[in-house]
Amino acid sequence: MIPAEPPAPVDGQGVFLNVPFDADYAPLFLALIAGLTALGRTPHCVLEAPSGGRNRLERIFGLMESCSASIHDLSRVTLSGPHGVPRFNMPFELGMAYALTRKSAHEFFVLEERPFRLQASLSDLNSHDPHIHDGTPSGALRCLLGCFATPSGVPSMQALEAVKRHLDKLALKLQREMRIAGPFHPYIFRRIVTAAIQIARHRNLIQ
Amino acid sequence: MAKNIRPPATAEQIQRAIGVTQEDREIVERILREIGEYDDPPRDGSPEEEKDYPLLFAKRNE
Repeated sequence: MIPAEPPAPVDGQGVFLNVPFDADYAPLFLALIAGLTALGRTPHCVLEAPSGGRNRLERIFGLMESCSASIHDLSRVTLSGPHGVPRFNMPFELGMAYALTRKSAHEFFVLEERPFRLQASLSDLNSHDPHIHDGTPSGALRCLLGCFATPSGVPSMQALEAVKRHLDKLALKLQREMRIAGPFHPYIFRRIVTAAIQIARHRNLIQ
Repeated sequence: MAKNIRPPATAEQIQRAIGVTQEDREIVERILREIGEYDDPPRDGSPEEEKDYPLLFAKRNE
């Protein structure tokens, strides 16, 4: 048993992304980064933590605990891989987020690709309506607008889509230069967030 | 669950939170210029922005 570490300071604008790291999900991942950044939130995910040292669960829990909110996409809880078993990581980490809400002001949001599927797969969450993204980047942005806002409102959907379009181009070029197939790599992730910040600021969405 | 409503973080705060390095900024700024993100720059930049994005402002001032 690994002893619990003292909690990290909470980043009030930090949002932990608990999402699938697979090629099909990459466009949605970029949409979530673009949208969160344009809303003045800091996207975080487990890619930021070094892989050595503390075990993976501890790293995930520590990161999630340092964020005031988390997003959990349960759209990939399906049979997959050579063994044909469901992937339990996402719902397990959602359970960690639920535990956090019991002892802190942490809030979590659940995303799904299709309506009514969550009620069948995770009925314990029946009191939490998932946000449905239809498996599309625009759907993911729409979900963000349903989850997050600033006291002065939210940017338009068109503004978020414009940030996403430019971020897509940058990510593709960055991945080619670094010879990495997708955005799920620590350096790529940090640079994609850096780009989202610059694009959002260039468009006066954030200061 | 109700919407999570908070004041937006600034670009600087987000950069600090994810540990952006000078190298990250330079690489990203170069690629953004190459893909045309800065082709139509806004006109209300502040001195603070000029410090952070020298290449953008150098191009704007040409």
